[in-house]
Amino acid sequence: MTLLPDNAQLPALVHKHQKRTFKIIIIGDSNVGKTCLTFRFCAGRYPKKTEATIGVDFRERTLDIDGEQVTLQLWDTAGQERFRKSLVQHYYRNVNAVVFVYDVTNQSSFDELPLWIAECDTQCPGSKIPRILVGNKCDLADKIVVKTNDAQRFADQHNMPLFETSAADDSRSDHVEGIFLTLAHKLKNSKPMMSPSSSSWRSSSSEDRSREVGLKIALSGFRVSMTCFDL
Amino acid sequence: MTVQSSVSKNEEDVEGISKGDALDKETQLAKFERIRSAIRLNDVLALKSAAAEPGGLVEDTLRKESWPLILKIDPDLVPEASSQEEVEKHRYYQQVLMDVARSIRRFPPSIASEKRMNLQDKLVNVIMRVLVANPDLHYYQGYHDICVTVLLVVDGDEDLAFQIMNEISRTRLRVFMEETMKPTECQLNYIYAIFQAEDPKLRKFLERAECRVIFCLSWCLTWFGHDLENYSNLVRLYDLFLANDENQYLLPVYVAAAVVLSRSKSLQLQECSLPSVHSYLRDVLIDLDNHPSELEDCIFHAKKLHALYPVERLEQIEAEKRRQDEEYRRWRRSFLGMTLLRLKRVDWKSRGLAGAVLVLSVAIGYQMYRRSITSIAEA
Ligand SMILES: Nc1nc2c(ncn2[C@@H]2O[C@H](COP(=O)(O)OP(=O)(O)O)[C@@H](O)[C@H]2O)c(=O)[nH]1
Ligand SMILES: [Mg+2]
Repeated sequence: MTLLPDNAQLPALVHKHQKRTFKIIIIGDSNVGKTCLTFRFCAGRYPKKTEATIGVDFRERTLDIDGEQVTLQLWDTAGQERFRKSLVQHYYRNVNAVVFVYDVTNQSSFDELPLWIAECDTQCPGSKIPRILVGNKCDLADKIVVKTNDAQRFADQHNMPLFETSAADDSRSDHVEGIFLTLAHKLKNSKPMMSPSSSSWRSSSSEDRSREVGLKIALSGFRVSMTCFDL
Repeated sequence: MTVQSSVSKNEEDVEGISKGDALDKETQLAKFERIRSAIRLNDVLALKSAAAEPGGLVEDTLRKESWPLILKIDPDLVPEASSQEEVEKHRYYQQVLMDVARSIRRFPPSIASEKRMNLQDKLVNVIMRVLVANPDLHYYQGYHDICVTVLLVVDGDEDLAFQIMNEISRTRLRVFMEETMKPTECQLNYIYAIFQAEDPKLRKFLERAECRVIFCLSWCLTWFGHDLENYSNLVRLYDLFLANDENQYLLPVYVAAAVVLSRSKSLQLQECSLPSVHSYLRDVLIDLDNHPSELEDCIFHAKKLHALYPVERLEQIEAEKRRQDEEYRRWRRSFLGMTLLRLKRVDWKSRGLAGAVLVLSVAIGYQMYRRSITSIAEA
């Protein structure tokens, strides 16, 4: 007899037809471009009119990765502290990956990152869920105040890859795409059908690694620095 | 014959529609006059009842005069503006600037960008004036959605918009403007008591999906300003929310409940998860926005719910639910409850297997018993 524990929650992650859904939360200060980034990836364009996010919004996109349907379900969260405080446990429950976003033209959005990371650490202690750091609004070249070196050092310290990008710049739209694709590959190749928290960021096969290299080359045109990837 | 009858039916339809339209226009005109005279006579009760009726206060010129009367605001009592310095060092100033900059969708598409930017500046002023005047109130993202609607209705009259916002922030919106969102959550949680009374299955579904109040957060916090595109629907709702002063904070929650209840069946066919519930309900609201008569039905239902379940009743319902849950928990802890529950949770395949094993063992036991009986008899 198989007795399920009280809080058994399989169906949310394991879909019919081997289709897997990964929950990814997008975190960072207000106005850094979380909504625009997720919109760019899911709708394929930069939103004409953005609005403040209230609570949390959901966007998703299904990708075909090596013949498997993988759905990335993005939780686009509100940056204001009052929303964060009350909804935070919701965000982190069964999360598969975390994307931290800051605005390269806004120093304080970068300075706040340790708080976001600390929150993530307390919400999912000890787990090795993949995390990435995204510096947004690189199109505003003459307004950039957060130096790539500093961001890279910070990313290294916290063991995550750094991407500097722009949700607004149409000519680089495949760059945002690339970031999420990389994440999707990472998640797909993590142990299948297991509880999300046990999927490991660093356990990639060599095939996986070569793909990352490929991606890295494809992305290298645009201030990308992701040296701490599995290489 | 069939052709003819269908033709004549069509004609009837066409006539029916035009008749209906004419009727609509007539009542609209009559209502306009009724509201006009109520304004003249300062008849607040008549204004409130007109505001709650289908169509609300009809048009913005009437709203601009009615709202201050309903809220008992004296338009001549012009409040002094706060100093620029005070505003700029306010803890919420930056957040307000960011949110107002991103509020372009909320303005009529035809508006000239210069005029729009001028209104956006006023919007910042209105919000900051309220915040400075009421240090105990905290800004939340979505508050600007309510302010922009008010500012549009009063046609950019900053002082009047401030007075209206100042009044409703201290009363109807106060619960959303506390230091944390706890009181907001408690408030919105009443929606579950409404579901408990009207549709317990729906409540269970939403609880299983772990939705809490996230699905109606933006509806209630912005009085639907964040989610409705159609301006006339939106201001009609604002009429309703302003007119109501019994349980005055709660009316948006009743409307939210009515919206969800109207699609309960199809909602429960969706995947039982927060993202799917959230997206489905967002589409429901867009659909209602495009079908004002259905939205009007929801408002009608909301008013009925409001009459049926005032706050005290909702609290009773919740208390009763808690008592039942507690009883259930106690029962579950008991030995019998534990066993029965386990059995309930076992899937059908294992149930079949267990059943087969049970039947087999009874059969074997019976055989053994018969043998022993006969062997005793033989002996
Ligand atoms: N120049 C530029 N502006 C951006 C970019 N991404 C977002 N924005 C703008 O930054 C503001 C905030 O974006 P939004 O996605 O709403 O931020 P969120 O609060 O993090 O969700 C909006 O006015 C956007 O138009 C970008 O890549 N470049
Ligand atoms: Mg956002």
